[in-house]
Amino acid sequence: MLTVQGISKRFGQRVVADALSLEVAAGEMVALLGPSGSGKSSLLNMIAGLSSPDAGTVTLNGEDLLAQPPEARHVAMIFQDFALFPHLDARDNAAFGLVERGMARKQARGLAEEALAEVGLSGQGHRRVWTLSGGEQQRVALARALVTSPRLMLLDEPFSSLDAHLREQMQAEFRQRLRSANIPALLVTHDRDEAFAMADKVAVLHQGRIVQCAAPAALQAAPASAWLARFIGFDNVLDDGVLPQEALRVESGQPPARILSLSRQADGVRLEVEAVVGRLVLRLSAREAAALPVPPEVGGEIGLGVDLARMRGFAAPDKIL
Amino acid sequence: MNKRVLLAALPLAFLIVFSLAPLARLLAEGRGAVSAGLLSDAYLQWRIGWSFLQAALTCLLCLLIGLPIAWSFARFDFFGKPWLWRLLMLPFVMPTLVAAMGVLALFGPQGVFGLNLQDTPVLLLYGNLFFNLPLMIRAVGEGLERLPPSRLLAARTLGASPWRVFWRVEWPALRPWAGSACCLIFLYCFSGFGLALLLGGQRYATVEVEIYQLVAYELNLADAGALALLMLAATGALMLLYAWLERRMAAPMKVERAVAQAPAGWRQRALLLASLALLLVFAGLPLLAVAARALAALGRLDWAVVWQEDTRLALWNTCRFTLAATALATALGILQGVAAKGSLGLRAAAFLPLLVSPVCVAFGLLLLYPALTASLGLLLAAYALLAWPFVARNLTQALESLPVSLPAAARTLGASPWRAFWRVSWPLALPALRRGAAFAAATALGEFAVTLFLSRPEWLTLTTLVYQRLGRPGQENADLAVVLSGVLMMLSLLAFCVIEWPGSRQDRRKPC
Repeated sequence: MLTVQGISKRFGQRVVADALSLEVAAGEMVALLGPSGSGKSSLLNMIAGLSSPDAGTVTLNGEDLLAQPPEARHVAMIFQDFALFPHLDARDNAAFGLVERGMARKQARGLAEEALAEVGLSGQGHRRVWTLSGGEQQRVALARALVTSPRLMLLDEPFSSLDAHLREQMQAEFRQRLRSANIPALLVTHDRDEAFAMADKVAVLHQGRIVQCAAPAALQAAPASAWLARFIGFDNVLDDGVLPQEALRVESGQPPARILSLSRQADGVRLEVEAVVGRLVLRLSAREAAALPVPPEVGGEIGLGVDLARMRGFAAPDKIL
Repeated sequence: MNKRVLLAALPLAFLIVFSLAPLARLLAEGRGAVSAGLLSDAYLQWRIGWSFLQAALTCLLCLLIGLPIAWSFARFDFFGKPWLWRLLMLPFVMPTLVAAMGVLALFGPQGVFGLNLQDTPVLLLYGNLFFNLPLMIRAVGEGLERLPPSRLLAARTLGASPWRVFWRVEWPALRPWAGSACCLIFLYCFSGFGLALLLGGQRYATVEVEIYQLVAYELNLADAGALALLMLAATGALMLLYAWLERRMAAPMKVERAVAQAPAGWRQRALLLASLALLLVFAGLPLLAVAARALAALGRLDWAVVWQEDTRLALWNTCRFTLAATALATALGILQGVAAKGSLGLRAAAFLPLLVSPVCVAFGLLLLYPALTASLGLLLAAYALLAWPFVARNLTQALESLPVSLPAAARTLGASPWRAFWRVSWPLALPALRRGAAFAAATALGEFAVTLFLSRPEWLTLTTLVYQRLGRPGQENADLAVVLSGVLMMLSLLAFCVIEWPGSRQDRRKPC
């Protein structure tokens, strides 16, 4: 289990970690979600040992990590740009860590070939890394990290340079491999879909602090604050909670709401309306929009009821972390 | 920090002992002798004025001729362009002596075109252009390639003609590049020695030549010291200007490279042809002339004359001096290059020997270490001093351009800092080191200024032998000089091939 406790770090005026604490249990994947500049990557670097915190402790299975140099931590990291070594072929890249751990080259290469085969690159070991596609480079990076049987895997926005289709495929692959190897992982990302799709728990980082850390479903059921609710994608954030789309009832008998703006989207329309409780964003699927008695248009009206019983209150402070 | 000091200690000590201390000694020598009387001397006034004038003229000519050539290179795609771009580096490794022989073969007393321009300023300016035009072309070309193509297209859609685009979009972006190139060119020409000595004649030589003649023939150390002091002050001011311009230049960022297209229409074709013709005239002809002359002379000469004792001695000395100086420069350059990573001060220190005039350094060495003038070590140290910046700069640049994630990845995979350097950073920086070492070898090979000051008869090298034979009467001496220049050229070509030979596909980046 990884335990980060009271970590603080500042670069000049900029605070990247402010008494931050976090836990990753055995076999668990935790996503560290935050806007850019919120200090996500800095935290990973401190856990890997590439930079050191100003205060706080980091332990892995009870062992103090901060006292050790990065090479002694047995923590693998996957970098945003993959960081493959251009002077080595795919196989020697994968074997790099084994050689550094003192394994004979021949044996290391054999294991590297096996690791490459496991990520679907069997027989590709001789290829120069810049001749590989983005997804293949990603897989080499994964094989290189996995083959050393790390105690913890750190993933620094590893999918951000891939296109959307490939990204989903690689996310599924990574999740499955890490799960079957039972390696705990910390994933840094600014993409909430990625965080929700991959992680057992999502920790939301804001200005060097973790605002909330919970399972994706719990996060959506009771976000901790208005900022967080907006950040994870809620449109309608009120003073004491959020109104999910299912709390909005579009029926002709309901009080009318004026349509302020309308934008068409691939799967329906998004309306901004002036309702009794205030301004709301209403998303209608193509089917729902077609079922309206009058087609929605700016300046027109729509019958809209608000089911306040479905409002989700913000999480109580003691249930945030 | 401590490691850095430790690494840099040896090269910095070397720099102080063989460059700064001699220069300081020179300053002390010259300080007492600077007087109004010296500066009111009409002869010296002309020397100083001409030194400035020829440097300024060279800058202007480089700008006028270099701009269209660079523009053609950046915007047009044509057969053999990558090769030509590489060949532009060739003058950087050519010894001044070879260039001077080429210029003399073209426009000297027995010039190919039957036109004797000796004792006119043309020879020196032509020689200056041979060395400096490629510098301008590469600097401006680099600047042009970094201009995002969208910016040019935007200007076109806003109604600008290609010429107006150049004037209002490209030229403003190029000015810092052209400016810093001009600074370097001015510096090189102003403190130039070899070309001016061989091509300037009595009237059009520079201050550096004057210093050499005062020391070597008139033993007038006081006046020489005063002139050297003036030179140092002027070059110092220029260096500050250069550093200021470099800093103003936008930090190089990754941008979309402009796409070159085949020239379309007669105007573009004419521009491209004219550019290539100019390039041939100024950067190609002198070398071709040396090659042709050397072959012709070889036909006339008796083999016994070519392979005489002097030649063998010069070849042997040239080889061993070059090897020793390169080894020393590489060792110092590696220490300095690794230490200077991320340190502005240490990077600047590596620049110093490139910018101070070799004549001043050599003169200072003579003054400071009179007891060592007969020692080969001093000559080799001076060679190494002039050669190591190439190694250090190339290495530092390569190390700094490595993505930080590479050594970081090695660390997380279990490599200690030393292992991460040895297995990742070092192999990736090796091609740059090879280039740097080849530059260093080329420098030692063709070195002329320091050699004239410090050399002794038994240390005859190819450059000194050529110079010696040029000064003797008779066709045979002239022939031997041009043949040996041809040999020097071939050796420099060899260094050039090592520099430009692509190590791998990754390595096919632009040479720095």
